[in-house]
Amino acid sequence: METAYTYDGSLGGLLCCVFDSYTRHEVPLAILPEGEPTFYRTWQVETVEAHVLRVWNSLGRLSNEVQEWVKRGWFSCVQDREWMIYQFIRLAYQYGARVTSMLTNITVCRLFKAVRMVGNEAGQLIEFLRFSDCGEGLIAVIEPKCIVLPLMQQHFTDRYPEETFLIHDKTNAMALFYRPYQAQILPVEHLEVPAMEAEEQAFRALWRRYYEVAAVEGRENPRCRMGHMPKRFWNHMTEFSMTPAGEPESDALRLAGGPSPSALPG
Amino acid sequence: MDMMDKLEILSASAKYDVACTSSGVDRAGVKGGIGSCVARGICHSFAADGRCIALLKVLMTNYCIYDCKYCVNRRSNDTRRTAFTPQELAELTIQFYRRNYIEGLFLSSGILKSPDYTCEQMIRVLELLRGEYRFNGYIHVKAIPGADDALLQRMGMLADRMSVNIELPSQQSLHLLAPDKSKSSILRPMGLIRNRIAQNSTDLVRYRHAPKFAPAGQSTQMIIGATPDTDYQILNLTQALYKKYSLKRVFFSAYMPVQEHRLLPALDTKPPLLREHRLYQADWLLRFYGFDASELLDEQHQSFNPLVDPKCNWAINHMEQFPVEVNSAPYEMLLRVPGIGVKSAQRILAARRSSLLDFDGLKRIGVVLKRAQYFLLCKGRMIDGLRVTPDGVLRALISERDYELARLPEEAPEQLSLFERQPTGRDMVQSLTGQL
Repeated sequence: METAYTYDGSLGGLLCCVFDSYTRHEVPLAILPEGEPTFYRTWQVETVEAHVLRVWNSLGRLSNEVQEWVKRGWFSCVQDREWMIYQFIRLAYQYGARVTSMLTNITVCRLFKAVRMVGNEAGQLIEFLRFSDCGEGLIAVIEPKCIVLPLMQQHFTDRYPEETFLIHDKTNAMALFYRPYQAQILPVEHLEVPAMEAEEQAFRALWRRYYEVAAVEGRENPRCRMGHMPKRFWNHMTEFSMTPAGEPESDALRLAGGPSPSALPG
Repeated sequence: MDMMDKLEILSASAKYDVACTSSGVDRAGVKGGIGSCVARGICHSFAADGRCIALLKVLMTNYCIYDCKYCVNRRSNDTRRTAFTPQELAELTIQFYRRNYIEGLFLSSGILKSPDYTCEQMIRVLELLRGEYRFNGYIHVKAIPGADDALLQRMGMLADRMSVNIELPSQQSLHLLAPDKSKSSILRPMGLIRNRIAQNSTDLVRYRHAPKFAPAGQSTQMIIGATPDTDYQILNLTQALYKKYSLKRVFFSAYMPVQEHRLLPALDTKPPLLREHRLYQADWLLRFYGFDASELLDEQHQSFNPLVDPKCNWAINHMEQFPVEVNSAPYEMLLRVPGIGVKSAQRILAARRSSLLDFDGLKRIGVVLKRAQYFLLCKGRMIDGLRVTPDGVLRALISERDYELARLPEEAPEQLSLFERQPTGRDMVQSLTGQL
């Protein structure tokens, strides 16, 4: 009988679908999150830690790259990622480590693109993420199109070992918390960003001024800038940040006679 | 003067220095410190001119005892002058760095009092950063020509990358426009840095923890279009610098007329952006594509073709080497196909290990065929339905953007028209054969 699998919606659950499909000697018609309506007869896949590890380790034995692709394919949140990853794992068992160079295969090619997209997104956010010092630590807000925090963790914890910081991923309602020397990614529904103090305002103003001055007049090239730094990132970048009234912050600060950082302690 | 004004003045005078990469060194962060380096480099922002902002690029001071004609900071220019104190600059760098605005500091300077004094001030900043703040991020520092060797050595021990700007591509031009500098005064520190880097690499073999001297190497920059030097001269000089001085990068900067002077181009001259672009393309060909300068330009052809990039130009003139078979061509030859870059070539190599490639397969792995199709065979055949006419090939090879940039002033539309003027086949053939 042909069956669709339902699973608990986690990466572990998906790996258990792979496990069940091999122990039951069948290829499922579809892999669906629990509760999704379907006309097929369904088989409820249970997430068993031992099965998760067995599949995960078997992928690692093929190559680290295969394992990494499965993880990043999951993070990519592309449509139908379950089926894409399931098919890829079948191919991986069939061809071994060289599956990652079979770029002309439709499944491999799709996963390759998803993996690259995740890497690029994390890379761009490592560039464009901006921290603000709220007194107790640094806070950054991002709105990525896929899950990137696990891929950014290493970079930022290595770079700022003595800081306390928080990166809030609004899209996926999670946040990376770090205090010396431990990091954790936790679900976060809502985050109240405290008002910025004068010192923080002053450094933001300095940075905005520096950003404006750095462009050479006579060489303006908005298309080039947008190509390198897509507008969807601008919302959370200090260079472009606005006051609630929609004015650029720097102007508001200038009008209000903001403090000069040279007058600040430290 | 408050910090805002200082930052504005000292970054405004530093911005014409184009080198702003943070690449070339991998260094993990350390407990108790701040910062790390990534070898591929990280750009944190892009300015309105589309150039990357990776480092806080400032001058220590814009006071200067020299009088170089092309420079905004020259002694005879009436401009606001100021200087950072080492403490101010170090604190500002750290505050920007911890907010993820920058990868580190790019420090240059006008010459205050003497080259040695200036150098000491700059070293003080680097010592504060590396010592007191335990800053592990990227530091690019300009070597000050004429400073004592010991000071330059000290600088190199603290910085990741050092650079000495050549500025003008020939001794003659230097003599005219920068009377206080000479070719030898520029090449001397460059040679010194090269020798120290070489010596350091042997030290590192002997003692693993030997302190590193400018681990990200050295770079330089040339101004394009302020003097009559040709592309051919510039490219040859570039290649010589890579070979003789083991430079990591040579940067080109289209001359922005900021000064009125009888020896300089008029103030309303447009910066030669296309020329700069072509030089960068050629520079990439030298560094990553295995080309030699003599393959790109020669005595008879001293300037780059404005309509097609140097690689296409080479390919058109060497049609006897094409088309190449995707499934068997060596990597070096794939790199020479217009439209195929390092990434595509590597992907082709990986993909053809598991199966024979056809054109659909090429598209699937992300190779862009618009230009490459005219130079490739898959399993012995050209792409289906491709008509190879000289016109068609040329039109495919000329990018719209280049056409816009290359448009000569007299070609600019004089009358409003509903239709944009398209280049005719004859125009292109003429320009390629040099009759235009």
